Amino acid sequence: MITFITRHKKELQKAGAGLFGLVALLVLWGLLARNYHPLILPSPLETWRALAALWREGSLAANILITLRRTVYGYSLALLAGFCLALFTKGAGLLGALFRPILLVVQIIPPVVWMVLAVIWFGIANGQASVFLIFIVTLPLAFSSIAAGLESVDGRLVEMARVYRRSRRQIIAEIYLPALYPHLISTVSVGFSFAWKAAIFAEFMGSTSGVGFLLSTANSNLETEKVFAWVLVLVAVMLVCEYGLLIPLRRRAARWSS
Amino acid sequence: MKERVLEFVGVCREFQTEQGTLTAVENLSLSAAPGEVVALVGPSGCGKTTLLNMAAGILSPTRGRVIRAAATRVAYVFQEPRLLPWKTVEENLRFVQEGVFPEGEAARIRKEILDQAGLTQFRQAYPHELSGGLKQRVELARALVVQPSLLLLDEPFKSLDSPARRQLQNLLKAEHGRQGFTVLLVTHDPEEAVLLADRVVLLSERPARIRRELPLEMPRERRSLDQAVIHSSLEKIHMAAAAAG
Repeated sequence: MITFITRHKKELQKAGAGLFGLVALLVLWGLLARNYHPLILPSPLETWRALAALWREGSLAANILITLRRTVYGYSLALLAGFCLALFTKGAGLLGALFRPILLVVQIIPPVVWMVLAVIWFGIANGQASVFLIFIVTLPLAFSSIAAGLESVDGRLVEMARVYRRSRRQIIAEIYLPALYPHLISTVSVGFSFAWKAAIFAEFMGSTSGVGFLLSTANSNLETEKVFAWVLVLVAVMLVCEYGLLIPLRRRAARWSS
Repeated sequence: MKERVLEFVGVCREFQTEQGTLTAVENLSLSAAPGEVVALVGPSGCGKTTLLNMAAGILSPTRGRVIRAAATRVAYVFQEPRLLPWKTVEENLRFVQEGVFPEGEAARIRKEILDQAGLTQFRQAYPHELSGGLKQRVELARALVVQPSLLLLDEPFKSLDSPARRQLQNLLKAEHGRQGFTVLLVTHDPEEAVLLADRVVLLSERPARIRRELPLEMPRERRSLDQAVIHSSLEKIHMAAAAAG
């Protein structure tokens, strides 16, 4: 135990400082909440009670899962499409020139416009509109990041594989993907929180389930403490993903590339 | 017409650079018969690698034609090792064998070549764990495990010390004796050319043109043993180079 502390002194100090910052925020929130009506700023305790109530209703876990699933679907689709597009336009100067402006246009159009269109096209009854929105707002980023990764793949290895008559499938699976791996990990870990925010936005605007939808319901019912409770949930889910999944993945990628 | 594995017919290759057009190879005709070892000797930067790249099909000629016999299986030992960094030595070898042989046979060939190249103990090592010389050795082993019909060698033994060079030259000779592939060997070392080749082609400064072709009639097996033969052949090359230059 003592050796653990001395060995990880720096990290423990940093973790402690981070925790202290969060506690300070909580205290500040509590102090501010004393001066305002709960409709405007509910106290941490009221928020906690709202959270407990949500847990008892059983809507908490189910809706988190719904939103997470949509995020994963939409973002996976964007990564896959981005990968295919990047591979398709790589090297071929004209194809790249054809697609880049289109993707730029897609990127420039504000998410709210895409949401309006998504609701018109897919309706709000199922999650398709949300998945579509996540897909469309994360696609340009996924594409440009993967395209940059592909540029960094050593062309001499691909040349070697061609001389030895390796198939396109082998070249993609054995050269492009492993070379892209560190890039993909950083793309995924940066993009995932973006995709998650897009999911909340989409559900807020046009959906009948999910964290974003319940956030919007609480908002229209003037249940501010519930709004705060959902915000806590959003943050907690993202923190769990970040520290439980994405940071370890990034560490692995760093080891891989060294 | 005699059978050819590889034939260059009036080949020119130009590159567009910022300074204008650079001619690497000019009007070059050359052919290699099955099982023949042709050494290309010439000053550095004269376009030898360009010739190999055209033989491999990585580059196409600007003018003229490069003809390869149908179903030619090409293997290429590049000047700098091009191994997949995320695969072990054995996996790198297996990568080029996939779909060429059934896995059982591929494994047998691999084992044999790894053994003869002195790589068995490095089978599980990753390229970054190997020295430059060892990587080059893996390159050669990778070329041999596909049992090529045309083997392209771009100064394959340059970075090796002389015992290692001798070992790999012997491996190459033994495998050539067994498999009977055609070899196009680029080297700047006349001794190596004489030791391994059936025919030495002397190339000019860039753009590469054939200055002189020297058939070496002495059987290869004897050349390695009889140093005197090497020396007389070397003298011939040097004299030819002096006469042509």
